[in-house]
Amino acid sequence: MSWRRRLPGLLLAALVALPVMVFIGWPIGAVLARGFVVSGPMPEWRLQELTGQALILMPEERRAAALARWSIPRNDQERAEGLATAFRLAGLAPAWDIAAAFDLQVPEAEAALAALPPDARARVAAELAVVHVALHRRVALAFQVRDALSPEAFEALRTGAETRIGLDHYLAPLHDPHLRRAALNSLGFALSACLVTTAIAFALAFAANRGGVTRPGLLRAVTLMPLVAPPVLVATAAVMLFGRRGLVTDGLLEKGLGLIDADETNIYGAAGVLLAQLLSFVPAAFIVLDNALRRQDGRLEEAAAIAGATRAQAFLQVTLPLAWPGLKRALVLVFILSLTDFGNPLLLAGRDVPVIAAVIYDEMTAFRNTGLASALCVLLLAPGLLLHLALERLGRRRRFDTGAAAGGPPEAPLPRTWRIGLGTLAGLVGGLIVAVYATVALGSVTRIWGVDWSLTLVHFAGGGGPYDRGLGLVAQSFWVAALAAPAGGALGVLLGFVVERVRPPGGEALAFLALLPAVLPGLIFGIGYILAFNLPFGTESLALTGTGAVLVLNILFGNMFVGLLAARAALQRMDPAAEEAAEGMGAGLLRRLAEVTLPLLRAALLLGTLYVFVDGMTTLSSVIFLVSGRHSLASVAIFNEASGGDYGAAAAKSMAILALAGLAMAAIWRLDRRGGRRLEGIR
Amino acid sequence: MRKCFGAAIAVDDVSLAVRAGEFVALLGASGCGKTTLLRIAAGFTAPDSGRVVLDGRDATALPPGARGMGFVFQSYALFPTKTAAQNIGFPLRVAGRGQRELTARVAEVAELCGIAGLLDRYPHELSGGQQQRVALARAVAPAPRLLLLDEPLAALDARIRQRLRDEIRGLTDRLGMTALYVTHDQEEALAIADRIVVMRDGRIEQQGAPEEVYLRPASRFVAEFVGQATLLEAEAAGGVPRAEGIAWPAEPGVPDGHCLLVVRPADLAADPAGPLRGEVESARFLGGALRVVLRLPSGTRLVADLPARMPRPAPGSTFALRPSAAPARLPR
Repeated sequence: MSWRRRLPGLLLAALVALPVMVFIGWPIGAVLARGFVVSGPMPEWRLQELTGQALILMPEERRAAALARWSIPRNDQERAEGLATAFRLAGLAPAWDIAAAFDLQVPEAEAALAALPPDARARVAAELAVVHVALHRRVALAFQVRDALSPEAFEALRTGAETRIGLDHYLAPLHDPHLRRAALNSLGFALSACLVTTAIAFALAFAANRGGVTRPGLLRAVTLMPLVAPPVLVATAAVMLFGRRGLVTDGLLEKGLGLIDADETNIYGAAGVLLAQLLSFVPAAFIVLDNALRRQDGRLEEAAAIAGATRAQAFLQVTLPLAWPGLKRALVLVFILSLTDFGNPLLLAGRDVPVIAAVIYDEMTAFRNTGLASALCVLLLAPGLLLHLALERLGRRRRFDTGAAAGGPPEAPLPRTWRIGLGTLAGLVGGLIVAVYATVALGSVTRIWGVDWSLTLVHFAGGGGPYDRGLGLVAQSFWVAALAAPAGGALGVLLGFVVERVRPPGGEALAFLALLPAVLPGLIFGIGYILAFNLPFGTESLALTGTGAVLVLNILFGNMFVGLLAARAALQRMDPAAEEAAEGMGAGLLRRLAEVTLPLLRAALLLGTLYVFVDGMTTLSSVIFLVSGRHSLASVAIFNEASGGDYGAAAAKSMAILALAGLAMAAIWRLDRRGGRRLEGIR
Repeated sequence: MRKCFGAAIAVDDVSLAVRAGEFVALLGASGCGKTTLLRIAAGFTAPDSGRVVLDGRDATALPPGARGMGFVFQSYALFPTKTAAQNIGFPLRVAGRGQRELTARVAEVAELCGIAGLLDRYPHELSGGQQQRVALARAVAPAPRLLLLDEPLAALDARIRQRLRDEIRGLTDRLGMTALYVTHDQEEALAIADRIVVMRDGRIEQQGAPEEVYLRPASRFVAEFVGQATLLEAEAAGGVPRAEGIAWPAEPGVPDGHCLLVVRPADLAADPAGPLRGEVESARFLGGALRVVLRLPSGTRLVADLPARMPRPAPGSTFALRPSAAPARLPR
């Protein structure tokens, strides 16, 4: 009887689980797996080994004759390369400049060989015989022993490339100096960004919650603005203001005041990246810390005050320790955001200051090296995880709860100096954020930024076609987001219902899977879609890449977690008695869902839908690899135009996206209020 | 003293003096301004006009920490990241007391407050009653001149509430401490205070010893807010008030004319021949007494507390009462 009662629920669960596993589980799994698949040129030792094995397959006398022929280098290049390789295989470093011209290398290499101690020289000589074959005569060898080899082995020997399972991609940052530099840069940016951003966000949140500014509502609104920003908005504005042709650097300081040379003194470099990341990530950190401080009981600070503590003592001993869990979350959040950010570093530091996220972007777009890109994506997760674990150990404490419904902030005003300091900081950050938006707005109506300052609407004119500089792409973005949004919201809410009320086996695991795109870098989710849906099961007719559908699916499944979280939170607060009552009256699952439960999840559905839509309009990292000539998105075009210096086009699209996102938020807000009044009585 | 929040007047021209060593309860319904008055005394809230005077000196501009007061919050407001001992020691530590002295004093007040064995616990490891004892210990640790308590027992169970109430009073007596105690529970105020200040809409309605407030209410509001009472319209002539058709006992000197009688449940006694005859509406056994609600033919309901061991009259049956003590009078 019991299983028959549960059957409809389990069917619903299966119905929801299937797409989640296919469109979230599979792509992420594919990235994890792909990092271990090494395909490409073999390392020297492997080439040498394979060549040795093939030589043994040759008949004795033919081998001797062939070796005699093959081991003589045909020119200086072969000679020099052979010697260098033999040195390395013998475990020695070539003691000459291997970057010099080959005719200069040869005598130096010969001399280096002669200068070796006898046993080392013997080792090099032993390798040298096979090295020339391995490097330069492998093709000939392969055809000689073709009959004795499997087709794969023949192919591997002929091309010197192979596909195998290995850790090479994961270990690459250890060997490759470029990757090592990128990794260190990434960590440096992430650490400085998370410290600076969290500190500033905390100061702003403190100001908003403890009377540090006179208009906390305004501070919140301005600080949260970059949440709804098209990609690289901050970096674009920074370049437009402080770049080589920047309004401030070139227009004011060089041409106007003659103070600097804008080609020399500008925003480009590490400091610029840091500033752009700060402004981009301050909203996320602010949300976390604003929440943490708002929920703190103001009575605690009053208790400290009447005990004789100064404001600073109360802050250090009461406010700060209580905010520590929030601070930890903000630190890790910004750290991960910075680590996976490639837009700001690419735009503001270019390839001079490589970071891992930008390397991943290059490996995917320029070299199609999906293996290395996948492995780097996975490696990118490690530092964030380590930081999280380290912070957990550092502040290990019992969970303390000051009571969510605790009293408001303390009434006593902050000392004057605090208010001045916090007010100045809030003004500075708020001013910068407003300046970013104002600059982009101005750029969208300026003919050629930095050159021709005349006003124009040309950037808003659509032309059609793939090279549309106007708003055609914004319309495409809109349709993609508008298709993904309701589906993503509904699926998230449905999954929330399944996990909370149907409680199928493995429900929590399913919810975790749906949450993964939220915690993993968007890059992973984008690359995963390429790996999974380029050639699913080797069947071309199933391929999704290059279609518009892949964009919709990626945005839908990448953001459905918001509806899921909102629905779960709502259902956890809600007594299941009403649903049980309906069941007792004989209502089936679908009727209960439609008439009892879903109406109560209206707010969750709206929030989930809005989030999918806004993120769909603005996201860059997960879709940048999925766009094609026929199906592109405005956000990707903005990034390309901003990198290419076409600020007018980028700015016009940004403004259009902002307008659409604003409209969507207003529409959802209205819907929410209309339905909210009806629900008022329930709460 | 005066304090407004926007258009709402929280404290409206209140003047209150507390003598050293006195235990004063501010009693009133929520929103009457009692907590605001307390927070002004503590220095958390600045008054719009008026002064806070401590030992003859103006303390209105002093920050809370410089006033030498202890404060006990309804929500306890213990520091969740600190142990009970660290919480209690906090005011001593910020005052720069030495570690030896601090430890000794913490142990001493913990002993007084009955939490000596709980000092290493964190607030979330303590029950509500224990948390409030820690909060009390923290408030009295620096030996404040004045202890302010803002509904300290409101969040606790009835049983613990009564016990802790008596302990708080015992503690202030032992330490010779002055206390200002905010509560909305009239029973609590009656039991704990030397003087009760009844507040209503930001004003003081009446103040006096518990007996005085209970037995001689100054207004209809106080009569109904403090304790159970039946109000009867009465007409007095020749020093005798008459209501519900009978003459009621009265203290001498009742002026002629209209007045209100405040009949407390204990002012009535069962008497089969009593003049107040009516129908029993309900009879509930309260443990200490039998509470009978009697409906008179006039429609008036009388509430009487009768001896608990009396046989319980059946609802609907006829029953009779007589006045056993002189009820309080309110002029109309």
